[in-house]
Amino acid sequence: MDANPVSPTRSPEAARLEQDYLDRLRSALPSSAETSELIDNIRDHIQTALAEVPAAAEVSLTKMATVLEELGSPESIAAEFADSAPAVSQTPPTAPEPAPAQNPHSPPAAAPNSVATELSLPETLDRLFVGYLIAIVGLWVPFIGLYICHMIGFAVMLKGIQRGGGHIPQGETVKKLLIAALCVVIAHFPLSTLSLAPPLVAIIILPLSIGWMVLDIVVFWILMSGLAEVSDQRAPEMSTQLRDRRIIYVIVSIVFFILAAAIGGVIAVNSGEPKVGELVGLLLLPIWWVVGWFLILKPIRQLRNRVLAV
Amino acid sequence: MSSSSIAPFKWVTQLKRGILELCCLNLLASERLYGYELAKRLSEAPAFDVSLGTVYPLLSRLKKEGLVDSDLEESPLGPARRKYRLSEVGAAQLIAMNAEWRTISDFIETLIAKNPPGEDPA
Repeated sequence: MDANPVSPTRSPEAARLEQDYLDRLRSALPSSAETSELIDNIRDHIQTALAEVPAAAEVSLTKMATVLEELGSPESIAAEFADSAPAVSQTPPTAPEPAPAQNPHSPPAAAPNSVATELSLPETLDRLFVGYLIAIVGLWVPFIGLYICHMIGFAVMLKGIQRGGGHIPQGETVKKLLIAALCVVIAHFPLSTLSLAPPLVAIIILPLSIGWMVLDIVVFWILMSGLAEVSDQRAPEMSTQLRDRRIIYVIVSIVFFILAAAIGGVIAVNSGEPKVGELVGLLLLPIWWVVGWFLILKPIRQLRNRVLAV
Repeated sequence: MSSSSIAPFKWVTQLKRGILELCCLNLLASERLYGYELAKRLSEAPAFDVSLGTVYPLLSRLKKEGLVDSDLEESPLGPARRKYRLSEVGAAQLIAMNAEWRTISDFIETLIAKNPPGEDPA
């Protein structure tokens, strides 16, 4: 597991103890948004308590046991949670003095926004999966499919990050980059439908295309890095795979872009028809189905299933 | 259920459980806190010896009842962390709870004054 100032490396025994504790806690609790938050809080508590350990040192079994002992047994926490669940009727009555018209014995009239709209980690991963799937499915339909599906797909991912990106490190950064990428796609769309001579294509569309590719690479680099950090805690066996795939994604993206631009450019120049060049480039894009599946979609799906399984 | 039928230890435990919520809301009234900070402050108070983990189910219930809200704060060093704050509903409820506490504690102080500690009430 990578070490960082907030999450020092655990010894294998300490990591097993922590995982066993969290597994027992999950087993003892019912499945709901509230318990998901409770487990996140407990995990954050352990992280924060262990942050006192010097970064260069490894968290020992003894230290981990001490932190978990201070928390109390998972069964006692689950028992407290169960006792709290019907506790609406146990809330102290309001004082005789006039108080705002809030009945403590009734459920909240409007559920707090953070509970009503916040997505769990699996739900956030589902949104990312669906969003990216929409974006690359559209590659099959030249011109319009590419742009419309990218816009919709990125919008779905953006919404997922907005409502649940707090689960993913650097979620805010990913959100901003997705917005930037959306702007580039929207700007690119009308320009690509114009009949531009090759010099104008190079001046206007090529920089936009390069910007799109660069944004694409940066977005997914940061996103996959965030998912790798999530997997450090939830699915350690996937961490290396996620980190490796983001590197492959960068390499494949650059190679593919150069290839598509080169082939399209050569054909456009030889035929004198810029649209033919673009068409060739776009016909190569379905290759991205395969690339996108193995490098982005499949890892997201695997991480999501792993998170749900524990 | 009379106090004479409850062992002192159990009574104290029940008392602490009862006022834990009051203390939690009062702490959140003055500032937003991470769950860890809240748990630490409550556990370090001389009046409580609650295990740190029992604070989190309490926070879950308070949030479900709308008395507290939480925000996810992004951290550059790891996953986002949840920070809790008193909601408007919670603030209004807290005013009433604090008033109730003062009334009850004033009354108990009056009773205790009549039976100083160490003296046999009989």
